[in-house]
Amino acid sequence: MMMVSFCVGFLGLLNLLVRRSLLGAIIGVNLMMMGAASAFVVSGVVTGRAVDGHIYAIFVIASGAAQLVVGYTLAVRLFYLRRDVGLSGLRSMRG
Amino acid sequence: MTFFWICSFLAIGAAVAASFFSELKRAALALWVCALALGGVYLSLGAEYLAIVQWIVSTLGVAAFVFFSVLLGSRDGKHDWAKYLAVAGALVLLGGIIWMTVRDFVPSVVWDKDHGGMVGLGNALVTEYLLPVEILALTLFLVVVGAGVITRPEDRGEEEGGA
Repeated sequence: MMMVSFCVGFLGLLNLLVRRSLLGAIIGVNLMMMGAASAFVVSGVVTGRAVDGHIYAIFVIASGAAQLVVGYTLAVRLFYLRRDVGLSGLRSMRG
Repeated sequence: MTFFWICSFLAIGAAVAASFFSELKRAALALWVCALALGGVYLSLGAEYLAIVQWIVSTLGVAAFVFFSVLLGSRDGKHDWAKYLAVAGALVLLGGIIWMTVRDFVPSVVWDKDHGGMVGLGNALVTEYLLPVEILALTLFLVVVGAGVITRPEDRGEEEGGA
């Protein structure tokens, strides 16, 4: 069962590596978050501490929602600055 | 257990599709299917509340993603080696899953029926995990406020000052 979480998380990492735009990278990070949340749920069920696993998964899902907001914010700001949402353009936001 | 494996295969297939699609809207829809399937996995593991939270959050997130992908650009280029790497990685992962399924490598599940369920979850959230929940709420609030500040146009103050 944990293999499913690993697969989803690994595909998210793969997605994060191969994408060139910020919006594509958000998809990868979101997949990694979902893999992490499902890992907490599965480990909680397997070890007999289901409530703890559920609560940690809720925290991961809420953190994923916050990550989505930050990603969209960066994308909008990047579009203001460069008219493009490529990952390479993030360097221009320094300073 | 059959429902668990159906949802698992669906989640992994959708995750592979989300990694392959160059069109961001299609990738977002694949991400949505993956999230719905993972909600089914949670449902099969006895986490009904978490499944509902997953479905709601992922649906709203993907709806916002489709909006932003239309607004900011809906295509995504990839590196040349990415396609071969993604195909190899996906085949290895799917082969591993099929192998695990054929070997029936399923760990013994310990169902915590006495302390699980919605009542146990609610009690834990308002007693033992009250401070982390408050910190999480504050974090979400700060993220929303920060997003509003960062996306504010720079020349608004100058225009107001000039007027």
